Amino acid sequence: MKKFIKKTVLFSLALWLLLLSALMALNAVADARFNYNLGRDTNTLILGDSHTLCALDDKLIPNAVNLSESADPYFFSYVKAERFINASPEIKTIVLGYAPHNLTTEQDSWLFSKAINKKKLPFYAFLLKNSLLADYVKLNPEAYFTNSVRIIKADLGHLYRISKGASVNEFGIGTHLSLTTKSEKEVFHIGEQGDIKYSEGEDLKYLKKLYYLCKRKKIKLVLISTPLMGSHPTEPLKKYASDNLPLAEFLDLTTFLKDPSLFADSGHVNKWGAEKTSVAVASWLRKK
Amino acid sequence: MLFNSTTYLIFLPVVFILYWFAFNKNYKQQNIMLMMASYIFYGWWDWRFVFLLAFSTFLDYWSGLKIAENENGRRRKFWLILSVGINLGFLGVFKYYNFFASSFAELLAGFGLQPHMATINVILPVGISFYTFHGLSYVFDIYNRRIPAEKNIVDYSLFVSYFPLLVAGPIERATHLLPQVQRPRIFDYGKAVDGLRQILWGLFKKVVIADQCAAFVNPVFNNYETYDGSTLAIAAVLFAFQIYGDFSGYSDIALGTSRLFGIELLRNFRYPYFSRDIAEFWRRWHISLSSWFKDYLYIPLGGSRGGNWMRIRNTFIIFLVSGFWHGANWTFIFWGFLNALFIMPSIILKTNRNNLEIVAGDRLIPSLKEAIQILMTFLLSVFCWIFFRANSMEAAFGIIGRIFMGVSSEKHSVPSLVLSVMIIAMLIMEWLGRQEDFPLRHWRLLKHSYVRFALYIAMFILILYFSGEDEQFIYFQF
Repeated sequence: MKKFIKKTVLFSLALWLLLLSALMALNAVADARFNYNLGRDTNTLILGDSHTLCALDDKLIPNAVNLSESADPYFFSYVKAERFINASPEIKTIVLGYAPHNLTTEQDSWLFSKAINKKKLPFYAFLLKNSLLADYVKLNPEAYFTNSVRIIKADLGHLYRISKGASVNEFGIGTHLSLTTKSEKEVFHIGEQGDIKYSEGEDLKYLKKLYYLCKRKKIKLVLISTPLMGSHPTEPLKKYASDNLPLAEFLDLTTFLKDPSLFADSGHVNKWGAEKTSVAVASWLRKK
Repeated sequence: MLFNSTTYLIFLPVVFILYWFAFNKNYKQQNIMLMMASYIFYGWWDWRFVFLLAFSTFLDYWSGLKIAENENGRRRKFWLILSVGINLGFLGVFKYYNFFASSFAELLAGFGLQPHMATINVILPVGISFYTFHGLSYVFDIYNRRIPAEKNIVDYSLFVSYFPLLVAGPIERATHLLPQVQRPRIFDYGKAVDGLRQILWGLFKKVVIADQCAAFVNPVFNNYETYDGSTLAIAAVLFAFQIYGDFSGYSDIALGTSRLFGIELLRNFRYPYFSRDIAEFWRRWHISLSSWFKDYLYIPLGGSRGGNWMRIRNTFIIFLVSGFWHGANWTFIFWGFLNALFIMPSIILKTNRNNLEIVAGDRLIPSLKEAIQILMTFLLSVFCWIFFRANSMEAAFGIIGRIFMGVSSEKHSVPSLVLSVMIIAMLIMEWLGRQEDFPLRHWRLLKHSYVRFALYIAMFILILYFSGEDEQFIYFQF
């Protein structure tokens, strides 16, 4: 029995030591070699989930880089903000997705979802340094360990991309996505405020952290509600922002587009909708 | 609690430590501890299921005692019928009521009637088919005087609820498991290591093979009208590997887990895809269920006595019932029917007991004849699996039509190279280790322990790489 337990424990320790050593080493190398400086020309960083991913074409917004990613909880937006702001002092504005669903428990479901973490964490892991890593492991200890092999693989991919001089949008941590489908008709409608169950879960703490980060760094935070099909209550968004994020500006574009053919689906604009939205946002930012 | 979850990764060592260190004064204490752990395991799914399990356990325990204490044939029969009736009644309500209601409604609609059949909104308790059959085998064996009734409620409860086999088998027999429960278990290093190897192999089949096949198969089968014939054919083949990896993987984890506690369970799979004919396939696939139907249905119906017509009739009955056991859908029944049809020639020609030995013996390469036989048997099983997996009869025939007509479409898909390599690797390992209970047992013959350790680590890394979403085992729905 003693021999069995000793060998089993030794094997488990050896295995985890091997994995964690490889993981930490590769994360450290990828982090050290990754260029967080977005360049002197970049003064606007766009973050958020699939809404900003689809709606904001950074090629049409001068001096902007879009690092939104589908189903990004605010935790990862905060991680990206912290890592890139520290290395890119030219960033003066962060445009952050802020839609009705972002104030619901859906945010936490993204943060804790096994499926979402399986897809995202491998690409984001190298960004998690020190306190950010501690935060993530506290929130999702299981996800970090069960994805360890995938993180190692992703880190090797990152190192390859770094060696090839790939742009920041090619690392799986965010980009603009151009959708080419057209919705034929209005398919989604929220008429009543009661349709959305608002709650403040774990993830909204990171929205606040992002706000305070911007405040400390004297960076303007613009909360953007990108165009949606149908009508949506934005009062809760305004109220939450004014109560908790008073210095942030709220740019409400939920009703900016009326034509269903500018949407790929109820929550996501297609490339034609993105063109109009991006030009409008660029114009708005210029005036500010 | 799934076997491939982090929760089980914590549960198992805790139970192991308690079993061998805290409750090791005598086996009766261990039985109590294991029984409680089993109920916790089951309750983890849904605490309400525990009451059903407890009721079923107590019913069969009590019926067993009553059957045993009565010499009067009519009284014995009464208690047997009571136990069988109530057990199958629960199974019927939870599993089959909606099927019968909707089928009956469809039948009446065919005559122009529009009945309003109430359907019940009820969750199917996990594992109900398995532990029901478990308990039934016990009362049948007592009725047939094969075993005495178990007087100790804890021992009997453990027999029914033993967590490694509770939710997806193997369907144990009282003659095999109860004696092990009723005597002290001694820790055996070799068996425990074998247990860990078998768990590792089971996880590999489930996580690396079955779950990755599922990722390809599910969208194809669920949207078959949009895929071309070749993609559907590939999906059918992959489903064969998915269900094998899933179910035999589960069985391996169950058997391996049980070995850690010094208890041997019945082997459930013996490399069925190396079978040379359908009869051999059914001697190697889900062995515990096939043998259950043979002992408690086929033989009481007359078995092979009474000529060819009796054999044909009884064979059809057990395959149809087996199909029905799998689920409340005509596709399962038709799957059973097809298997009966394919096995008929060997039943009629009395060749169903050929091929009893391990294919190719000690040879590395099968003969051409054996290879063709294996391939043909595999393809027949794939054809049957189409019905097993399809969502409806219409879908099944639609898929088969598209495959055989060579329908082309915009949507064409192929499995990843990695998955293909993993399946081939699994087949090679199983072929090389086919003399053993499970292929990794072969690795104990490797001279250097560091080579073995490196291979174990490599397998574990593969499992970790492909894991992540805790896909449910297919047979949990039965």
